[in-house]
Amino acid sequence: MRRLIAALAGAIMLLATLAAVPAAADVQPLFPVNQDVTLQGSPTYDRMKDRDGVVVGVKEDQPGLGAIDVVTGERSGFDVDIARWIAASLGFAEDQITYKAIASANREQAIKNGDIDYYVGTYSITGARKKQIDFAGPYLTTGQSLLVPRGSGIRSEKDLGPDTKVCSATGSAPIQNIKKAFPDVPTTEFDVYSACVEALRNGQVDAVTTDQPILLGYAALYPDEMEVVGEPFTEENYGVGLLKGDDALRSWINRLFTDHPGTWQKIYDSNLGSTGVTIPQPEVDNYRSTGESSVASDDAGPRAGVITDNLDLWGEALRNTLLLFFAGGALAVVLGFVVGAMRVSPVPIARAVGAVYVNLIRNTPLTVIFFFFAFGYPALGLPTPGFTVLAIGALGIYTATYIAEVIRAGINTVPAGQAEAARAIGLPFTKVMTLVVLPQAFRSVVPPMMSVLIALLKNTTVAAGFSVAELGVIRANLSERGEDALAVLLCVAAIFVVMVLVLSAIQRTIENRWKVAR
Amino acid sequence: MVMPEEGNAGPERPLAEVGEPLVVVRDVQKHYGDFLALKNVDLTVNRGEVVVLIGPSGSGKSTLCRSINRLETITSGSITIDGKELPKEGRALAELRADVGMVFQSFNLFAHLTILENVTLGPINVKGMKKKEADELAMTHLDRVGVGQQADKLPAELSGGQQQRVAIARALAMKPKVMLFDEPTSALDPEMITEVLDALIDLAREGMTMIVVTHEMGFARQAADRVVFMADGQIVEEAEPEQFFTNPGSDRAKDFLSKLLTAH
Repeated sequence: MRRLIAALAGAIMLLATLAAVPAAADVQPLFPVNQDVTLQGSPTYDRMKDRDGVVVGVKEDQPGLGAIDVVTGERSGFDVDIARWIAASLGFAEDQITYKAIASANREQAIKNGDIDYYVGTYSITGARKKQIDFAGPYLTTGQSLLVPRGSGIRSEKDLGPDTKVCSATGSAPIQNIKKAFPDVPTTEFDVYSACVEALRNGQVDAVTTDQPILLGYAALYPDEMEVVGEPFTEENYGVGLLKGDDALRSWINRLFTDHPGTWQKIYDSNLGSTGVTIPQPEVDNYRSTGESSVASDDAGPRAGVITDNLDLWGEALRNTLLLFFAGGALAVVLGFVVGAMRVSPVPIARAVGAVYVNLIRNTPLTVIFFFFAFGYPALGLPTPGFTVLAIGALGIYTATYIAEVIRAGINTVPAGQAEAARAIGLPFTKVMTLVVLPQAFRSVVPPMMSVLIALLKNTTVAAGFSVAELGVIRANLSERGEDALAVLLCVAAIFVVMVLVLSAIQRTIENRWKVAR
Repeated sequence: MVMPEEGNAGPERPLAEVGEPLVVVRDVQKHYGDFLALKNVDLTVNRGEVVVLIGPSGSGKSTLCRSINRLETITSGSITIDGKELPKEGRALAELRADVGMVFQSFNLFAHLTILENVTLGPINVKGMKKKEADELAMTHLDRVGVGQQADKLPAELSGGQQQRVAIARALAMKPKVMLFDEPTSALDPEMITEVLDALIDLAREGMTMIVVTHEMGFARQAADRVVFMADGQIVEEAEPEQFFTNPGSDRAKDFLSKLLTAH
């Protein structure tokens, strides 16, 4: 789902960029385009030349760093300007740059696949990532900080406790830092920071944490409501993500940063100067000699380490997936039976309520129902039971419509004479249903019911976007730990296949035991 | 079939005397859309009386039978059982239905329950009887109709005739005031018809009030107090069996009987 949204957003961006081309002429170029480029031995640069253009990976939801004006399609921010600067140094003007917004969890894969030439977007240099890609830079050194409502009791990370809910991007390094350093602090995760900021504004969380410049950008959007507190309590070095082994390009960019401190300062001042926080340009890290980089990466396929090295995350993810499945499934089956019985009830009002419920909920995408539970329900001012419970509610209410229809179809397979005979001996409607019709309907609904439950099992991954750390989230978490995204996805798929096989086996057992003879 | 011991578990009829009106149908109309299935039907069945409804298919006899416990709703008119008007819906209707036993053409035994459970379901869940007590009651009735040996089997394991006798036992276990039989032998193979009819005749002899939709003239002659002949949704003729079969009063009945005799 998120990939789809990202892909759509990317497509829209591309169109916006293309549409903006005629207007580019009257935009004053920020950086003089280098007309005399000599760069040998860089496969990435060769690709740029062939294409006569640059594809840059960026973020677009971080004001001050990487943001997009949704009306004009214009991109701005410190990171975006760094990306433009690099492009200009390589001889490409603004109208030759294509921007692609890539979500954090997909960055390494996008670089490895060659979807982008380089990535500039709050991309922390870590040892785990260096196994998969290379970094030029760093071009900015910062650290994790806290964004809180103005005047809240939280003045630094030391004020965090069991009563302060902290939000950050799903699976991001900041949220994993908090979990490690403050295990008793409750955390909430959304796929984008803007959702965290929204949750902070309506009081669902008490603090948003990530790197200081990102928070400063949001604080600047709502200066009266929120503020950034505390000194950075981690050290993050932002680098330019590059194809592994492209040492020529890496050296080129590093030289660019080292040789033009004046340009760097200009970019900093125009984007982040107004925040009042001064950060000096960091020294580039020529972390490896040319010889070292030719070592081939060994992440070609799944390896046992993907699971065994990260048992903590897999355990939590599997537990949450099973919790969502069983609790959501139980709610769906109970509610589905009630609604299904209502739809065949002799009372017209019950039939109407059942029909409205099924048609309303079933015609609504699950994601929209999740949005209602995650953001709409808390806005009603009722006590909020936490995202896991809300996710169970959303899954249960959604799946119940399908169960109800399966039950109704099952009821229709029971010959009318069965219900007539039950009524004729004086059973009231509820007992006609529970003692005679449903037990017989149940046998014929086992196969379609299992299909609905299997769909529910897979639908639990939608909860990933709503701060429930289940199997759908694990790719983001593990990509932060430097694991290969494809390997993680294969493992997730394998786990789901196993779980579905277990369900199918249960189905066969039930069918055999409850075969009805006619 | 096994004959029941005399006086053992006959239907209890403690209330009104034999001969008083028990089922009273007054000016009943029934529409299916534009089609008039019952037209100005008046019928009174007295306590202890056995009435056979007869007539060509589509004449409304099954509809009338099913209307008496409101498996079919009527458009206008009134139906009373033992002086009480049939309630429209809900618990009151369920309670009244418990007093009206019904046996269907297609048996309609509960396919997922054993023979014993089929019979005890009503006493336990409608009358609140203890399971042990209900089991004893059920066995008495199953033995009465000669299928006590089959108590632990599922309906599908029994022959049609046996299933229909279980259905009779199931209805009797509710101690009904009146029994409705909607073509009880029409779905049976010929060799099984007799065993079911024998059970009906026994029941009639014991004084059960019965309304039977059937074409079995032998049964009507042997057990019925009255034959009601219906055609086109109306009651055309009511007579004692002997008179009806030997000397019907209406042309419709004569025509019907001649076809029936040719067919047999």
